[in-house]
Amino acid sequence: MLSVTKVLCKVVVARFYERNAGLFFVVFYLMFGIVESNQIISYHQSLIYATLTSAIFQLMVFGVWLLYSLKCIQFTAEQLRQPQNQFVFQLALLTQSQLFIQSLQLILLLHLPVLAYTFFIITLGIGSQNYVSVGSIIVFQAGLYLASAQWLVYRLQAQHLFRFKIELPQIRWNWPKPLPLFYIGHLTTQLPTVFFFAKVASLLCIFGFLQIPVDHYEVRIAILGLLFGLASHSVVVFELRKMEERFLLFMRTIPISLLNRFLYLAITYAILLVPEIIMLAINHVHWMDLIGIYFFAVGFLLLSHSQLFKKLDNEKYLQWMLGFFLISFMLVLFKIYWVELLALWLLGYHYSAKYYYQFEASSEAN
Amino acid sequence: MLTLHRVKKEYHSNLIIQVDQLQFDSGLYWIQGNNGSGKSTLLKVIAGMIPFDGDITVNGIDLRKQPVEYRRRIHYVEAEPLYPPFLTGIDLIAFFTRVRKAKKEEVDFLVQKFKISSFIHQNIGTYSSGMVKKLSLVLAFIGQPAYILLDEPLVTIDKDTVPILYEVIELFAAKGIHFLFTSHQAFDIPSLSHRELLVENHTICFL
Repeated sequence: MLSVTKVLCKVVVARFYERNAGLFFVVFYLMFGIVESNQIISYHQSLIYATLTSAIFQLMVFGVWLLYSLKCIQFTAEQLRQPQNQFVFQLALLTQSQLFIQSLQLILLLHLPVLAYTFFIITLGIGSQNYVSVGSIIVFQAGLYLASAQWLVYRLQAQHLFRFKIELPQIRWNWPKPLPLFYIGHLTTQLPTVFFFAKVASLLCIFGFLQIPVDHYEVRIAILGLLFGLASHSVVVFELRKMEERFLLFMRTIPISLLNRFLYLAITYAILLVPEIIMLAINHVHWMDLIGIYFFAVGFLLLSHSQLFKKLDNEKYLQWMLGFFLISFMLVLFKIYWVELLALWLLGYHYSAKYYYQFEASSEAN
Repeated sequence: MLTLHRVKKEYHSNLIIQVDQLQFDSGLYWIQGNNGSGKSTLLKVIAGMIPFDGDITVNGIDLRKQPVEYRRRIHYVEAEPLYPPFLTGIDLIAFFTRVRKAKKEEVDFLVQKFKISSFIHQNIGTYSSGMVKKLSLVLAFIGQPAYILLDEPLVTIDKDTVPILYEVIELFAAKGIHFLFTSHQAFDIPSLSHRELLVENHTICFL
């Protein structure tokens, strides 16, 4: 059975962590990066005690775990739908109990970050004698894992009946679709959950930063929040670049100049970032700043996208994103974000023009 | 005239194809070769889809110096094309018509000819591979190219579509459009003669 686990790890688990590395990075930063190193333990103790003693806080935590589980299920279903993964359905030939154990194992591997944090919650809960809370957490999580595993068993056994897909509401478009809608349509129809979670994370980051109390109007707070929001778009950018190599290869033969291609991409990201700009606008960011911030945000995603014309490799991309994020963070802190704005657009176009036709897809782009 | 001058294509330092000098004038050219010989790579190079060393011009227009004008004159369709599954056939036809500045009546003629009007309003994700191939052939003929490159055009299309494809090629050839195609099956258009080339040992030569 070890061979089955190995295959499932490669097909589902490894890809799950690869694809969501950007999101994990943001969550990790929010959990461990925003507090002083000497306060990390007390900060997490406070969070855990709030989970153990406040029913409302505990319900919120349950809500987050539930969303995470839904994301795991959606991702697994998406992987099982891929033509190259159809062989996984041969698992239906296992006995019911064997299949359930395999499924549970897979679900637990996908929930490793949640399990690790839960371990600390339970340890502290038992130490502080909050047995009822500990019991409810164990029951909730066990229920979540067993239900997820049972769903997976059913999914593998009833391939011919099953259809699981979260669908975002589609806008009816009766006119010829312009190029930016090719990209946006891919996100809303093929990757609705990825897109939804990226947007929720992004808006939460901005909202969270805008709640920081300040004495006077400070645009940097808004830009820093936006930076975190943009970082949560890293998976969206990577998926769009992958889509170009898979479904938009014909675009290379189309008579459109490199500048126009770049501008189409800019329009795409400008449309994608409308919710973030609305969020900033309703939180009283000055309209003059808002225009600059809009160009900054589009430029940030454009450069992230364009440098992927050089190499489409998830691991290298995440390393690059981390460095890019930290540099941008410092530039914003030192108030030289308007210079960065110019650099983002110029560098983005440079990468796009230099590497668009130089790029050749290889097996790494998966 | 389509001219290749000192064209070389390598993948990770492995030579795929090398062409010192090659000219395509008018008419049909059937490029043959074994699997993996580099036929499709050659067509992709000519279509300007992948990087290569050397120079390619069509009617004096250099791919590197005037890439937009070059691409206006070279149309290419892959052996197994992939399109975004959430788009409809009509979305792509409208897009190609717009960017290639084609006439609506010419496009309508192609849609009728290849008998794709019954499904072009559906999402491409619902198409069979043969339907996708027919759509790709229609897209290849939209516009006013100088050359159309067809990679394995007969693969996956049904036997009723083969004579339709031949007829459309005849019509476009009569308008002065030239064709380069690869195929493992014999191409049989009685009214049109073609020249044959062989890709072998990393190079190409006329038979």
